[in-house]
Amino acid sequence: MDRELLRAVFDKMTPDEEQKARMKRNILERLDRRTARDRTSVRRLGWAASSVFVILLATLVIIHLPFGAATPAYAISVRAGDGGALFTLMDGTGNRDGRVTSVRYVDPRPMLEFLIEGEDIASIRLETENEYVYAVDWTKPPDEVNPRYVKMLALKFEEDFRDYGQIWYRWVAWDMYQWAAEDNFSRFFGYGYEPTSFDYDSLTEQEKLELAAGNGSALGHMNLEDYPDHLKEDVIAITITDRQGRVTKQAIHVRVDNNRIGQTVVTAWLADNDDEYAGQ
Amino acid sequence: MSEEIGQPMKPVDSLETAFSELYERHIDTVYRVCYAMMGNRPDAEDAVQSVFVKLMRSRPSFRSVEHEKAWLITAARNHCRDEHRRWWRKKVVKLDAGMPDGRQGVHAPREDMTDCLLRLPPRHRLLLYLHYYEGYKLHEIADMLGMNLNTVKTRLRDARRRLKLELEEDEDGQGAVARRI
Repeated sequence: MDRELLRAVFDKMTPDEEQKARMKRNILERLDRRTARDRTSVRRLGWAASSVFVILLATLVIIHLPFGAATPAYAISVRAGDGGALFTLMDGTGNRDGRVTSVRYVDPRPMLEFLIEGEDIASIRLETENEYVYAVDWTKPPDEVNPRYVKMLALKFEEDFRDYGQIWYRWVAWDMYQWAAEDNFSRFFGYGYEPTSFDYDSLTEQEKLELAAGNGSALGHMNLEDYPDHLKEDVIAITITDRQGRVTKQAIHVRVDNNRIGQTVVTAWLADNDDEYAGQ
Repeated sequence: MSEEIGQPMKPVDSLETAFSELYERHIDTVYRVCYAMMGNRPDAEDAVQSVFVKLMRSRPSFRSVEHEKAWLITAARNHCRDEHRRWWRKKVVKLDAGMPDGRQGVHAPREDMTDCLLRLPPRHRLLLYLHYYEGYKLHEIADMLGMNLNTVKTRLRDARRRLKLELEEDEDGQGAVARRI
């Protein structure tokens, strides 16, 4: 092997100073965004502290009720689009007005990335109705990662495991994509299709500007007009069991549809407790 | 290249200082791993950023600088492999036909050699990089990537053979290069 020649080829792969500075800047920005979120959480602690008395009182009441076992709390955070911000979905009881928080974003290859954070989780089980999920394990020195699209994913955690947030779960609309990709991607906008619901006059000025700039184009997005309606939705049923054996069930609803300029949009929201999921 | 005999870690003052030092120590290696795996600049840059962000968020403890480097190489490999498996990859970027000029010295490689290398599967490019550029021994690569030693040997042999074939098939008079492999 001509090592010198090969080494010279790899040597050329070294980033230049401008690249290094740009990447470093981007990394620091991403870390800063995370820190800002953490600071927000700290501020919320102030509110929490003022409620301590109320919570203590409530706890005292609960532990004296015959079936009043405390329910573990878990944060389910959804990433809005590839590399986008994390939104923590609130369940119906956690929101001040009782409404479920949702996220909505444009994604030409519909995917939902989320993570589950909490304490003393022994196992997490995900089940989908229509599409698929897989997990990406970012913990410790990464081992062999074999993401497989499955409709049921069960993870068990060792006793000393704490980095639940380092496991990212991804829901992918694989069947939808397969359907759209049939006949040489015939169901993608740009292949003889035009967004049928396109109504230029009804757009806002911002949307018109985005269209003019090419940012709002639906080219390359899936045209879901003929896709069965019930398959545009999916439910990710989440079962979390803690080390004391307590089970918490929640569900993320996902819907994929076209917006009025034909882009593929993902909407996700957390089910109101486990009302819908309980029946499964 | 053993983790135990690597340069020991030194304490750092702040998160930003820690990051800057770590970044300067390993950016070249991590980028080259990502480039070797992804085959183009934009995807390599994205991958590098994700790997360092992941490191700073998970903050694993390392025994030495070599351990730290091995972790980053493995994380970069896994991230890039994950990216390759994503069917929804949004960026369809052609593999760089030639890399930017400016670092070509006495041993300036012929562009054909670069093209041939980029035509190999990413896992082959990674092994060639780790062995011939970074100087890792085969058992060290096996340990680092969690692979069987025989698998590493086989894959590296395949990588060499495929590179040789690519060079031989190249029509631009690559005979001289191919004969040296």
